[in-house]
Amino acid sequence: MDQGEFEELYRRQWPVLMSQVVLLCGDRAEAADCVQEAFVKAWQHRGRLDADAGGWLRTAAVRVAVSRWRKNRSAALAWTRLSSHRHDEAVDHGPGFDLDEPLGRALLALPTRQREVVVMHHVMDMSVAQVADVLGVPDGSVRGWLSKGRATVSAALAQAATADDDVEVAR
Amino acid sequence: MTEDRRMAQELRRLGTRDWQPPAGGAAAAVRTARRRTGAGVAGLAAAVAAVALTVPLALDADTVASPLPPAASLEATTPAPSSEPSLEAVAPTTAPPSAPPPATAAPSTPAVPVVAPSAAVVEPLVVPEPTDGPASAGTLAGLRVRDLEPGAPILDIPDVELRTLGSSWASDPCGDDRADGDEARTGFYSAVVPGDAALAWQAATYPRPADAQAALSALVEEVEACRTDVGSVWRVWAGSASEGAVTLVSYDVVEGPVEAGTVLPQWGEFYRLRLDGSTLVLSGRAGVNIGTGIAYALGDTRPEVGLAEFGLSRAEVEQLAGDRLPRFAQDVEAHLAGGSPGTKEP
Repeated sequence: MDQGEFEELYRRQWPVLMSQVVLLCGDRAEAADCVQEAFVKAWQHRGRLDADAGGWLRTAAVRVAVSRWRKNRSAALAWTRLSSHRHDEAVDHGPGFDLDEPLGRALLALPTRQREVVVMHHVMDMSVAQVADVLGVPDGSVRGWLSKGRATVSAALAQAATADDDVEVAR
Repeated sequence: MTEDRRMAQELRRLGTRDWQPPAGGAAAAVRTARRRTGAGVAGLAAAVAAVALTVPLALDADTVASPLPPAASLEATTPAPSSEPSLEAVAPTTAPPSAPPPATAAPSTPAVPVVAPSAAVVEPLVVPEPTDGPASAGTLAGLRVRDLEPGAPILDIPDVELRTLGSSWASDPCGDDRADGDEARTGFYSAVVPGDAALAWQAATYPRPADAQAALSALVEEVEACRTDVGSVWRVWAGSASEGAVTLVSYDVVEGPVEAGTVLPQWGEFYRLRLDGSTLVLSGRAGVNIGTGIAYALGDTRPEVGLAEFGLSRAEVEQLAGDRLPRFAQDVEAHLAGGSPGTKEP
């Protein structure tokens, strides 16, 4: 793959990846970093990219996102543990973009693991086995998180629909 | 339509928002990739140069580029596997190293291209400037860097962090987290002396011996794959395998921009993998600095190698080992017995 082909791949796949990874991260800047890192890796491994470059990129981006989350979390934990300072101020995990739909809000409210598996499975079309592979956990764990995540999101959707109906009735 | 189906459809719709790629993003990715590759080569040059300064060996270009020693050359620093699994049995020893075979006399393994030493990159690993924050990604978790003065050797960092890790560090030698999906593993521990990993142990346990064997095989395969792709190798740039054990020489470099306060996470490590039933153990007499790591790769296992930069005596290094390893061994054994010491990844 030469640089021209790579740029075409970037142009074609970046929007797809971004739209998915931003749901995974819940943060626009973080998602952009993850997607960019996936493309850096893609260039480094361009000799191994096959026809399913999109799938390769998707997996790479997801792994980067999961890895960054772990690192950030570890660093935060370590610092909290070792530092004499207390970091009581709330950390801003805001999405960085307008995800104001009920579904978006419900998604962002999920625990990280549940959000990750829901997005990977339902948005990125990854199988349970693939998700388990990326997260390094048993399939059963993924199914459990999926079930809980789906239930929470579904409940939020149902609640939102009810609220909409109530508004209609009130009118 | 069920709620689940509706939700799935809505999620897919959310995932198809229209995003515009950043202008010049592809070129930026290419530049980053090229810079990293260049930095990796520079890092190797730095390591080799450090060896050239600290190893009392007459290194010439032929020596530097010579094949790596086989795992057998590790016998001077790590005991031979026994049929009775024991954490103590695989502890990195601090015994005086017997004379290892010189690099040039090592049996043949595939040669690893190594760039020639460069005198331009032999800076000791020190704290760039005062900082007050967590160590950057890539450094050892838990480094306390805020109390250090500019120029202070990193080895002065007092805390030892015992932690459990994901599998990516150990079983992902190419550094792209491919091995995170090791679902058969039930525990993974690492003990390090912050800053330079003067000694390190890692142990991964598997419920089934077959899984441990598979993990070992996969790791060997990964190492071999990395070795053939020196241009993009970051972590493990050398390795050899024989008789169920694999020797890893890893080398980490800073990835991405180094910001003020970044502690350079450069250290050399030298591990030996053992398969004890269902426990995959990485034990190593790790290098105190990158120079040591490379020296090991060249067949010199003397702990003095590489210490000069930090002004440490061998006794001090051995004291570090004596202080740290028993605690780690206790914790690992507690884990193997069903306990859960240390911090643990979810």
